[in-house]
Amino acid sequence: MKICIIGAGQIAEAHIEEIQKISNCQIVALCDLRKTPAAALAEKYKINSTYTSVDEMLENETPDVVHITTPAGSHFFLAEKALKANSHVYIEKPLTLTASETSTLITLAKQQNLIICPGTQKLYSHETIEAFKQLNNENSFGKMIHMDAVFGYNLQGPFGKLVISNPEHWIAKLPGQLFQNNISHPIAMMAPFLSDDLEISTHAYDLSQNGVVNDELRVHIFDRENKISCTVMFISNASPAQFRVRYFGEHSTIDLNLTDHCWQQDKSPTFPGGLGLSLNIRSRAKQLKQQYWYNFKAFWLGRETFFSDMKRLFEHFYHQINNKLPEPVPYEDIQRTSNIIDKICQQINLSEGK
Amino acid sequence: MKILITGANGFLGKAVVTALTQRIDSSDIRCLVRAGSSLNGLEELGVEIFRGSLNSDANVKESLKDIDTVLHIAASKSGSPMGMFTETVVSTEILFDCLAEMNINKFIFISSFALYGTSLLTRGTIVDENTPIEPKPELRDAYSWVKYHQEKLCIDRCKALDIKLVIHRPGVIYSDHSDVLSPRVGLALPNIPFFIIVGGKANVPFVHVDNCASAIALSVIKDEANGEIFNLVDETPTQKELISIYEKYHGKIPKKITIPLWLYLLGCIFAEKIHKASNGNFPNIFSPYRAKTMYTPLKFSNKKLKAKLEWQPTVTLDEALKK
Repeated sequence: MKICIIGAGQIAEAHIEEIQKISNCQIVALCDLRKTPAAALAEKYKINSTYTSVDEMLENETPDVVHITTPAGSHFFLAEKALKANSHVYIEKPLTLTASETSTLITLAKQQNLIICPGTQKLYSHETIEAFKQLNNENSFGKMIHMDAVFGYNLQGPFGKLVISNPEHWIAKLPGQLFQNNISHPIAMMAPFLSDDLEISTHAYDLSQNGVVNDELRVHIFDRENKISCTVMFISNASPAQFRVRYFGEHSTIDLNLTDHCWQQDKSPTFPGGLGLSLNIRSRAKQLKQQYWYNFKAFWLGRETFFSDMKRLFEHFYHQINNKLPEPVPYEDIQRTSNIIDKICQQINLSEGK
Repeated sequence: MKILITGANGFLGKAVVTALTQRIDSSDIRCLVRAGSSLNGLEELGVEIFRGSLNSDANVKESLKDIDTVLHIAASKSGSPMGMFTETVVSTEILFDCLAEMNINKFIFISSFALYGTSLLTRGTIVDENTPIEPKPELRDAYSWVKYHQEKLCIDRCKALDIKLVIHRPGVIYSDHSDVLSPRVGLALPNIPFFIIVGGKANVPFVHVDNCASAIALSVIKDEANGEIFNLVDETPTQKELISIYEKYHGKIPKKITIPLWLYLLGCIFAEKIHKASNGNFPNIFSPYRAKTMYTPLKFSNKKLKAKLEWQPTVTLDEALKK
């Protein structure tokens, strides 16, 4: 499988490292508007060609798959080009800037008989895969009642500092600014369980008073069709930054911790009083112990690395392409995620009088 | 002369601007400073402040208006390798793309000692401007890799544009207020109650920020600097000599232990094996390659700087530590 990457920035290096671990795949070219980053990465990872023109690269290399790792504003334009050049497309999150752009890309991909895949790789982390098995178990989880996602962001990290000190930063110019670049992750973890009949209300504010971007976001979602409520919280002033999603079901609660790579299922006590409560703690400790040893071995033996979820999504994406199977992340979930983000961005901008 | 300085509000940048104002008119100095970032006292030096980003072609072009000399100090020192690359090399590429349309006569670039391939040198070798540069900078650390590409770009583009280039490679820059106990001197690892001195005999290529700044300022005004590379070091005490001066003014460093270089290298070989076996989960901070670059006892020369630019350091390590 011939792969090309557009955008030689921070996340592109992770893509290269993970793709190079997958057999029967070859990165044939890198493309960036600037010569130096593509050339430096090509030299470091022994990639044959580099380009500054996307058209030229698509014409010369005729890739099977194009990975788009540029800033979000160019995703739609580049993905459209790649689809028209008959390549399957993997697009880093957020997929596009608006829901209508997402819809156009999905329609185009269907017309061309190609697949698009968004970079919501947390759906493919080992803990998500295990937790989702239980979520779909009617007996142990039952009907979804409520979902609660917390996405922590380190505003004082090297990238965060750049954003809050520069009003000209590309993140500051996105319709949903810092949130738009990050909330695809928590929303994608909820989208598979929702319908499209949603009521959404949003509050955003600049808690750190950086003056460039809002840094805290609270969203309430109500699914009128399924009677499911959700909260999404983007928190960037609390430490440590954590990404957690809790799913409250009819029979149990699943707490998915995507920062520490573990998950827990809490059930109602089977014995009355203090005995039941203490046995529940024992059951939690047992679940954690099992996952501790799994993660410990996975860490030291290198079975799971920082971007293993990304690699797992790539492998599934390529497998679906090779075997002419459906897209790895269902299009209805992708569209729903975009619709929700669109609505959130509109409400943020309306409240600020933009 | 009208000079544009990038990275002027940083640790070294501020000292260089101060040194330059003592040699040329302040009104001939323009500092490019990112919008929203601190001026770090530049506003008190009477220099022109131009707010803009090196990642913006429009900002850079505007900042280069009427400029004939560029002093490029800006560089990123933290973040992911490609994050640092974008902030350092890509911004330098943008700068050169804009320079191509201007009448720039001279370009002074602040590189780094991290470019020298010191891991390949034997004990006692003198590191001067003719020492070969690091053949595999990516094995050393992200900063070396980024500075390698930045320097290469400066050399290539100045040659293509026929601009006079001056390269400075400073050693470990310190000030009266910064901590001199860098990892080259000893390791203070988190949750380990010891100050670990590796070998103890390696010379540390120090340069005080004011001495460094005065050398850079001289290279701006002197034609003798054109086309040259300069090592920027002033004093090069061994690790143990430095610790002894430090303790004279700041009291004993508690729980310091010295381990032989061969033992540390053995530990590094083991740590690197774990790094590989864990597919990078265990960080490669103890690579033998990097250990050799830092702790092999070498000598460092600043003869060229003294001879060509008649530079003399004015601040000594002893004085700085006393303060």
